[in-house]
Amino acid sequence: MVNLANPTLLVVIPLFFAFLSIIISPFLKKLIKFVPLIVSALNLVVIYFIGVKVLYGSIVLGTTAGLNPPYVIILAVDKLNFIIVLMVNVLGFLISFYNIFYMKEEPTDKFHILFTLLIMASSWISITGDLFNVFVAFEVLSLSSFGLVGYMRSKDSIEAGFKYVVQGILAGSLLLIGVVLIYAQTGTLNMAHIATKLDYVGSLEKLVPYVLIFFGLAVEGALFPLNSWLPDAHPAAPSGISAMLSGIVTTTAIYAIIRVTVTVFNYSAFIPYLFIIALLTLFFGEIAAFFQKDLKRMLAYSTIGQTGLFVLAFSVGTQASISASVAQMVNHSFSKAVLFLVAGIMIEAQGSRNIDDLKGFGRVNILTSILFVFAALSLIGVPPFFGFFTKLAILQTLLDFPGFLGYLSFALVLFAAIIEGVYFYRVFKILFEKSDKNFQAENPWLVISPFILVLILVILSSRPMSVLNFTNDIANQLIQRTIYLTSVLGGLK
Amino acid sequence: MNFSLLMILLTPIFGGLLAYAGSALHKAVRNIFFLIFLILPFFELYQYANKTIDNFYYLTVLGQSLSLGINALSFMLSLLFSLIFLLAYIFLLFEFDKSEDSDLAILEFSFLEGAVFGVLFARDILSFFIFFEIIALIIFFLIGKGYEESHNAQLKYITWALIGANSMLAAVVFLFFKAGSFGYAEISGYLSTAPTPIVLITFVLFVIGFLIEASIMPLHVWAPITYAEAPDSVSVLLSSVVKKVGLYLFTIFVFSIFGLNLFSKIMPRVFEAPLIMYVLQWIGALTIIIGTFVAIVQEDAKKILAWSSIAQSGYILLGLSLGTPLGVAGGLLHIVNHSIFKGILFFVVGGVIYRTGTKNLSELGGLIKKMPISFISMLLAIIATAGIPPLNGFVSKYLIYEALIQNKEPLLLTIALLGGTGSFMYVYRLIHSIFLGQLPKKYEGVKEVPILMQVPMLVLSLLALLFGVLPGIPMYFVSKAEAFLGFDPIKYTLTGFPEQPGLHALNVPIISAALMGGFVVAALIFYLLPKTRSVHQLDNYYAGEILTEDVKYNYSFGFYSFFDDIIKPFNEWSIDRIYENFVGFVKTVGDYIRRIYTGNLETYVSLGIIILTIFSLIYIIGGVLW
Amino acid sequence: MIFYISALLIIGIGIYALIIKKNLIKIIIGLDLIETGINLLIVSIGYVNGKTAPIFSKDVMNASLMVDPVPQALTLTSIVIGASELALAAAFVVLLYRKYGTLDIRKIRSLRW
Repeated sequence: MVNLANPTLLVVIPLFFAFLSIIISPFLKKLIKFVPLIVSALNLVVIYFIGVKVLYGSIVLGTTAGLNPPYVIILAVDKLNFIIVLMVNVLGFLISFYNIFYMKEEPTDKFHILFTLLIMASSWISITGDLFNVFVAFEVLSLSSFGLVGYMRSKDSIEAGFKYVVQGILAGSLLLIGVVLIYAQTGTLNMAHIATKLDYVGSLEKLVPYVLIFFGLAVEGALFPLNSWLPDAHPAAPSGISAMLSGIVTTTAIYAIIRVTVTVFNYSAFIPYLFIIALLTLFFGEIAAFFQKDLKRMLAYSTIGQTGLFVLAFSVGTQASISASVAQMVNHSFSKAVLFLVAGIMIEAQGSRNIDDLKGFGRVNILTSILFVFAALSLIGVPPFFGFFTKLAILQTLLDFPGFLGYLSFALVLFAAIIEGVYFYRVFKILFEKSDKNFQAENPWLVISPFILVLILVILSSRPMSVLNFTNDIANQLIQRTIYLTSVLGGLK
Repeated sequence: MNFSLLMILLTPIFGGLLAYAGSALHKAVRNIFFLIFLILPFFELYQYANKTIDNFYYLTVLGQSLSLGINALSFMLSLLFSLIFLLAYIFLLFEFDKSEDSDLAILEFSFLEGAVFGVLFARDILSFFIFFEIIALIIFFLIGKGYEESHNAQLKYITWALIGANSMLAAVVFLFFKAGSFGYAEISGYLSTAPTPIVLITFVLFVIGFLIEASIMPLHVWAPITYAEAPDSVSVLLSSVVKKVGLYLFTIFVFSIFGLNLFSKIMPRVFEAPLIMYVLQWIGALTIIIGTFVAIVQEDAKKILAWSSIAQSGYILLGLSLGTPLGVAGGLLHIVNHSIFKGILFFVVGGVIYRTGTKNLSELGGLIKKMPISFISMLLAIIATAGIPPLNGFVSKYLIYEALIQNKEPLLLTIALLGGTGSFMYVYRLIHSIFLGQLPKKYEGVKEVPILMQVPMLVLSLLALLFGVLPGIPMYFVSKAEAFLGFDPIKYTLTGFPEQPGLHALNVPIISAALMGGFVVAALIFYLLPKTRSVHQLDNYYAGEILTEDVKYNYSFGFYSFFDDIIKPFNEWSIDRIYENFVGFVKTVGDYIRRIYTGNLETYVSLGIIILTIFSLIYIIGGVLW
Repeated sequence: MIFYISALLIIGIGIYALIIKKNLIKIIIGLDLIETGINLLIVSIGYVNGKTAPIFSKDVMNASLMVDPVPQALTLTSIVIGASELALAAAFVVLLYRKYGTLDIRKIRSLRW
């Protein structure tokens, strides 16, 4: 009997299918589009078996060779990894279903192969326990998303793609230098092993690699100075990809930052800087989003703002704050994915990305518009949607931050919430405005995925506290580093 | 049968969903379904007539149980609001009879009623906030179904509602952080020992949120356009329900949660009121005077009502913030009375718009013969608005005036009285331009509104008359509410008030009889003296001009232009303009800020490198220093 | 030490090219320089003076005589990744030239704000 609760499968299955589909694509071009769907479904099965164990508090490990850690590459799943990888594959599944109907221009086989790789890389980052693996997975992630952003080969997408490539390569280089410097000091690449050894390293020696790794991850994580690729890439990419970039890529990058910061470096000294960066991200993101005329570009800037929000929450550094941050991450991933998917439907129906052209769309396609409204309300944090409870938790933790900065950020978050509310409500207004324009009816197949996602959001909204309790467990497990360290280093027989 | 509060809250929502499903079958099915569910709350509320319930847990958030409860004040208001919702729903059915939005409007309507009940029943700062935001959200969508400009109104409304909501949210989270609980009682307990700055800041944050919804002066900018452009039934709800919800919360927070004792402890007293209450009195007075004067010069029927509504909430705020038993009784009574008479006005104007299709006063006129029932309803309503016996507006305004005299505040009293006169000016304008004068040719075929549409106006008119002649009926509820808020309720009889400290005896039937006597004399003079003779329009002298029948000769545009000339200089620095300038400034700054995303690759790269270097340097230097 | 300095120098030149140069090809060269510099850095971290390649052979059977093998594995990986990324970037440059007819980065900024 194969042990299905093996994290290695989460990487191996997509990789196998990706290579397989390259081989078979000349013969069975039409079938390739189902590959990402199958892959994420299989991954979800594996995640189920892992999840059963993880929820009881154990950490599930998987290795790539017969040796014991720290001498092999190790994949470890604790609760935080679990929720991230679950999100990756749920979204991957639904978005690939959406893509089947969204990508019409044949041949689409390359698109779907790249998408499979994107799912693979995201899952990989979210479960790996090895720092160099983070780098490699990151590069796979970047490569596949470069390709997907430029996939349309329009003027916009190529320009956005090129800028993304340059910044992505730079980010990868920074990350690699950081990883290598860590290796130079500790002689190992296993996260847990590094963590135990870093206790004996001076703070300055720790700082330089940390900053480099942080900035490397911050590019994909859309943190302030390095996020300029994002508003270009999201509108230019096909909508399914925008949803994936916004809901998954950003989230996994932030996850990696959290993992590196808390588990590996156990670094409280850098928190004020993280805090300031997050504040700037929030501020610039929301302000820029307010002025956008292009629907997807507005959503992209809003992603930046939201990322700032949950990094801000995380950077307070207490258990409650990490819990709130993870909950907001879940909320953002699901709702922003819905928004991008629905935006794709809208853009398809009207042939333009301009918000003002959407006038009266909601009167024709009411289901799509209601999905948009629900997701946006959850994102802004209007009660009784799930987002409100996460926002409440975030606001509460911000007051924990010592000194003036805590109050400042508290006020700024509320200010950002007003701005964000106004620009989303403006879209609602335009959607339901009276107009004589004729829109194509929505494609019912395309609506299924966002509909399921909204259903998930509604379920979350009905039981907000169970989610927050679960994220609190996650934060608890994350903060008690020794559990992770000992079970990774000594757990495997 | 025993109905829990949660059931009352969910009844309209459930009915709305059922009605929405029923709309697939037939419109009548939908209408009747929902009507039943709008009547049900009355029966469900009946058992709470004399109870104060405090703890009904329905949800747990952040380890805290959220609870529902009911007290005398919220019982009174939930009864009143149920009635207004029922009437507004009947009106809405006609207003939306040709619109494709009607199903959705009914659904939103039901959620609105549920949310309003939620705010009234909330017993902790989180649940009231949740329901309050739901109200704002639903109102946003309801406004969008109105007139041409309604989409601008939507945006303006939601901007202000979001400002208010986030300001309240700040206070909610802050108090929860400090007190560790959401419950009204616990918060109140914490505040009684809290440091002064915390009390002041949270109070101001809360009050901003409430007063935005109550459209009090510096925060009223959204109100005129929103009231004027929303569908008529929604305007009724905005003015008679949502605004009162804001004022209800204000009352609860000032008297029950923060408490006057707390304010007297931490700040000096001015005119027998704590300083902050005195400031609020002045805000109320300013709202009265400005609202009234601006209402006078409006040309749009619904805009007049909107500004009038703003001015009247100034009265309520003024009465409440006096903080004396008399003032609070006046304020609470005016909440009830204003809901009733402003409801009539909106219903009548809505009916006129329903029949004629315009709300521009200069196009209307002479409808008295075509729409007599509407005319009588409006006549009663404007008498009430102007505060003349025997209609209900008189009693509450009388109480507020007496309370001002009792507090020895001549300045505020003058303003309040001036507002009374002003309100007569604008309501006269309204009835004159709509019902009196010449009937334009195009409205020859106009009929009275359908009978069912008359029901809302007539029910409210009767109530206005009843509460006017027998103020003891509403005072029964008001005095209980006052007792709940911790005041000694003022004494009252069925027909008025006995002599008591600060209040002179009042017997409305007698006053009304005296007034009627005056009318009888006037009528006698009118009928006994030589009669006026109506002449045909063309039976007139003219010089060089050719008279035609389609030109109107009654005076309906620029009615109060002399008055307009007086207040014109003040229009220069209107509050709207200050806000507009401010918004323009903020937008310009924001526009510059966002240009950091230049589109230049080298900018992005160098920005990243620079920040990286700066951060490393700060840290290294800091590490060396520390 | 000389390895470290030269590696950092190469990286610095790459970043300089990235920021200052306006030609797309030169930007790609800058990226290539950065990656080369990093690879040099990695190898030099594992290098121990006077030791041989980490391959067990007839001559060398003692692990203590070899340099650290891990950085060399890392370098191989990063070279592969870098090559594929640069190839992708070059492909983008080709497409950009076809669409915009120029290689000047200053003229390719339709996406901003």
